[in-house]
Amino acid sequence: MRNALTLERRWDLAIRFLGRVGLWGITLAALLFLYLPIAILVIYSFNTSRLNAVWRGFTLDWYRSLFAGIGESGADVITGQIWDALFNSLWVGGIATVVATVFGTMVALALERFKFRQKTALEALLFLPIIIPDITMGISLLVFFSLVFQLIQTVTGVRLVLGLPTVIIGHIAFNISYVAVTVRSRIAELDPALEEAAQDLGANEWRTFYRVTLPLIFPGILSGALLAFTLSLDDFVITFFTAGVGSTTLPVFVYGMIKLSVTPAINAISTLMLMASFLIVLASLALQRRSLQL
Amino acid sequence: MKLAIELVDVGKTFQGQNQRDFRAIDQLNLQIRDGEFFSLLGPSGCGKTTILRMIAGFESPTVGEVFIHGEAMGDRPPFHRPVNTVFQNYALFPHLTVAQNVAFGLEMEGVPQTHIRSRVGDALALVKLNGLENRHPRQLSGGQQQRVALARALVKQPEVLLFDEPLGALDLKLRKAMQLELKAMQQQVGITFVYVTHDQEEALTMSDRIAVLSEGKVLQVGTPTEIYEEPSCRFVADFIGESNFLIGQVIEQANGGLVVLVDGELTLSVPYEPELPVGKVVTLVIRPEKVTIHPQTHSDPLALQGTIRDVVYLGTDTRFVVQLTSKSTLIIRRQNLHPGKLDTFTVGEAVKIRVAPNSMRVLPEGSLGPEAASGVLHLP
Repeated sequence: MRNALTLERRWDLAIRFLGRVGLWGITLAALLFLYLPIAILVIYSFNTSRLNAVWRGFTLDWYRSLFAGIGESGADVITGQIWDALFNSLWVGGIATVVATVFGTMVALALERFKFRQKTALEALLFLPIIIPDITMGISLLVFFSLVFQLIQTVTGVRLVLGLPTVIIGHIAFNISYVAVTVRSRIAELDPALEEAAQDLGANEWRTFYRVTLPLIFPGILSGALLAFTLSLDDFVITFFTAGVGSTTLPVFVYGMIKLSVTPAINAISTLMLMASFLIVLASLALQRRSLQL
Repeated sequence: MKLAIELVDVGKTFQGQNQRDFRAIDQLNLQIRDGEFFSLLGPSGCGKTTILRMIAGFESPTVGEVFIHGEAMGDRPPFHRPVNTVFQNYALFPHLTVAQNVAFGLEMEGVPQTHIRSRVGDALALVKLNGLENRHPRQLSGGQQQRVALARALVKQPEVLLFDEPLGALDLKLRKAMQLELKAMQQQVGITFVYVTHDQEEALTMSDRIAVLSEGKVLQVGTPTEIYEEPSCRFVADFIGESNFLIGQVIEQANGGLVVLVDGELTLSVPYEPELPVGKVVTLVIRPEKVTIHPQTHSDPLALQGTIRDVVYLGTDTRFVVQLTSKSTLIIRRQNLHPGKLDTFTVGEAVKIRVAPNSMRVLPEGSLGPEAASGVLHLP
């Protein structure tokens, strides 16, 4: 009788052990699947070899080559172009984020705080840029710009071409939706009685907004802005269609570079961008946590 | 008598979905005197909060006018009205400290910083919250948050303070303590309090006067005693406290009284002045604590015959359900003052019931149900 019990108990423990190992195994496999390619990219950015296929030893040359070009005449042409592309990306991301955040927040406030007849239609339209494929959006923007440019030329005689401004407009177009959706969820959590309390205590609409509404939804606005910036920095398809000569952003440039020659400098710059994105996401998460505590 | 607030023919219609309008308030007239503790009492959906919001300026009446101290408010926004509100869930600003919350209204007025500090201190002292100035609302208990909300409104020294069920979220003990404290505070500061509640006990405890509301209409306005002792209609009698309703027909009116036939088998005499035609259907309101119950040996000639249907011991008192006639039952409450010396009754026992004539209230309303038709007196 005693023996039987211990046997049963042993069996129980074995099953439990197997279950635990299995669970860990699956989790590990999933994580590997997700992060192994990224890890390889990071590792090969320190590779001595020009080829990604073989490991020849550790070096920081590729990072060095990225920074060597700054401000020096006669620097590596490719390196110079990489930096130009990065600055283009940052410009586009920066301006698109600021504009999209302002407009996106305004849209979110309008949708949460007011009742109007076309509200449902506007809500559906707001989701459209998130749902439709980038390729559709890219082509439609291209067609739109060429039509507008033609019109401007026939009316004023001024000839406009694609460039950074068109890329920025394209990015603002899709980012407004993302910002509006993010900020809106934050406003929805906000008790309308807080704004009423502010007005009750003598604050007019404007003071109510900047003393109560804005501070309370600010974490939402900031995480919306960070999301917009990351999306803008990452975007390839829409940029590809709306960018002109000399207005290449980093993803477009990297794509072009792979077709010509693969240099581990790409790995290095990708690693740097990865780190930047990672930090932005961490900041965004921290902000959301803070907002949950309020 | 100076009026703090007056509502004249106020109506409020909300536009619902699918063009279906909802009339929340209908032709409402209300006068709230300066310095009184006035309660708006009614079940949820009766429009009491809408009335409060129209006084505060969060809603504007569809028709009619709200006057505060004789001045028509029109569409004046909340931030230009001499009233302040204590909200249902306090609505404290979560990103500000206790002191900053209380100071908010004074900053909006443009009061100099030094004055703000002393007035915030005074307000927090009044609600006994000194020492918690630098806490955030989330670090406070429900009762403390309630006090901050009160201090935030009081510090503005408004002419009228509005309360939207402010004690609803507190537990029973704390709620009872706060009721008494609010009442005392109102007498101390002398501000008009307008208090919305669905809790009739709360309204009776604190108010100078109460308006009982139902479906957007004022049914009765009066002191707690008037509301309880002389309810104007069946709804008020039913909503405030517990009531027995006996429906009967007038068979005789003489000497300032009525003789009412209940269920075709029971005749009751009640004092009643106004003229009522014989045959008129009336409702008799009888409060459970005003009926006494006696053993069968009781020799009062006016006592009614009944049978005990249920006995429930409730601590402070015992609740009896007594069958009077084949149709009507009475609920009777007897205080357990001297437990050992009281008569005990068991279910099924025949008893005598004594209802003092002047403790019955006659309401000239009600109808006899179809099943009661057999007992109806047919008059020429």
